[in-house]
Amino acid sequence: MASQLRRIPPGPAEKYAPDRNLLVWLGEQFARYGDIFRASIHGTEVYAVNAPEFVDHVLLKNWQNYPKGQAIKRIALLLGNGLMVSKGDFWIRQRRMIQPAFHRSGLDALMGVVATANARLREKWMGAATSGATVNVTRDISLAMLDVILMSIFGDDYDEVAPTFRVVSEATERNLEFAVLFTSLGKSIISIAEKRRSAGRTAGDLLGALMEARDRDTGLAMSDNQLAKEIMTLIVAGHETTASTLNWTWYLLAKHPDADEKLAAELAAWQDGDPASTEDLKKFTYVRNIIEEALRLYPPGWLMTRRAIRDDEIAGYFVPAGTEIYISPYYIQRHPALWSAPEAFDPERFGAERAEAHRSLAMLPFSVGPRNCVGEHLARMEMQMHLIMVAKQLRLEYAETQPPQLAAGVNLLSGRDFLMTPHFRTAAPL
Amino acid sequence: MSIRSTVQTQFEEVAAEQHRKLARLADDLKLLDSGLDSLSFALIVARLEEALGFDPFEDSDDMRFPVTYGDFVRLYENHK
Repeated sequence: MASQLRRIPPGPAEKYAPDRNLLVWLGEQFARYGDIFRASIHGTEVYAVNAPEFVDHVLLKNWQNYPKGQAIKRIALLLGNGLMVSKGDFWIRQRRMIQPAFHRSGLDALMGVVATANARLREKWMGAATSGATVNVTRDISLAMLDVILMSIFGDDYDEVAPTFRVVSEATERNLEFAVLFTSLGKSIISIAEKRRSAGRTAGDLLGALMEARDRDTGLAMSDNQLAKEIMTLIVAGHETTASTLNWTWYLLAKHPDADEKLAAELAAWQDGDPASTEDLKKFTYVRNIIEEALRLYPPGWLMTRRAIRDDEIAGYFVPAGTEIYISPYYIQRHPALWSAPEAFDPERFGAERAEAHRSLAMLPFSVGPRNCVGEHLARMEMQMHLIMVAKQLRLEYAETQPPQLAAGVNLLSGRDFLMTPHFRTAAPL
Repeated sequence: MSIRSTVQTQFEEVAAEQHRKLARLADDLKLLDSGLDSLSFALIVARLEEALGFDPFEDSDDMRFPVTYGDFVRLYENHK
């Protein structure tokens, strides 16, 4: 590569100290050096980037030079080479086998289980509204979203597996202890698959879809161990992300009564009971805007890392092979050059008439490019259903005045659980 | 350098970088008692992939997580 291209981005001379909060530290460096900086993080040369043109290069135009970086090893320890972790031709084969199960056309079939889990949660919170009790929003939503994903995956076998997988919600730390425990659960999945096979039973749930999936070239099904890894990936990835977004959504609504009132007005205008199809969901534009705004301010996947395989160039900067590229949806989605009043909660910014929400690559909550989230449409449907079903009946009051702490681990969670008091929108039913 | 030595070196280097107090590395040491957190293990696995050219957590069809330091070393030594 020509020497004039060997320009490197500015950056701090000091290494990132592991006892610093990485989310906060990255923000400090972007403020100091701009939209691209170089740093030594966890013993690796890193370019942190914060502009759509860089995202376009790394995740879209030259994505094959940038497979997932070191951060994915944390997931690999937990989930093995499931869809989030696997690479190359194997990943392509697995993605082709799994993707059809998440096609938009299949979402209507899953709306029943989403409604069932949310109806249970709504009933519990309505009971609290009647008695004036406080609910643990973080915990309750986590359990409800775990139920949704378990029912979607296991269908009629849900009752058998649900107690086993409760640990996913009960253990909040994604630490080594959790990895040891969670990896041992794979045998429960294989056991269900074996039972279905020996009984000649097919099922219309996600496990059934993956058991029926065949490699386009070989015609073979995936091995039972691989099936278990893919299902475990769906459980972890499909649970914590939606639960976290809804947790933040309720916090934002409780702190912004004007938005909550607009939401209530949209929901009150709907008189047909709980939505029964994705066509019904299209009518709730403000619900959608609220969820987009929650995803913008608190994207669960707050950091994506990629690793350059070969030497490259980004915006005139030389990228040596082995460099890790950090892209933070949290910062790009709060970038002042891309968003007006970026720190403000403003669901209307996602309205059709506002241009800012339509800027390419300014929103990355599900990533972009070939390795985007396979469950994006399911996640959006789950979150919209939850908000419609619960917020039509209830608003939540949050008395805490201190700003919430961010816990930026694998996902961006609230540092402490949100304890809130439900109130009926209208007089309590007799 | 043997695989065992390479693994031991990475445990020690990552523990120092991450300001972690590493327990004495013996085969019967439980990884949960090693003093390392999940980030440290992720870094060790990433660096071992660079040093050895493979990652048994991604390559293997097996699903078990190693319990002891000895299990961890053997995962690499027995990798095909």
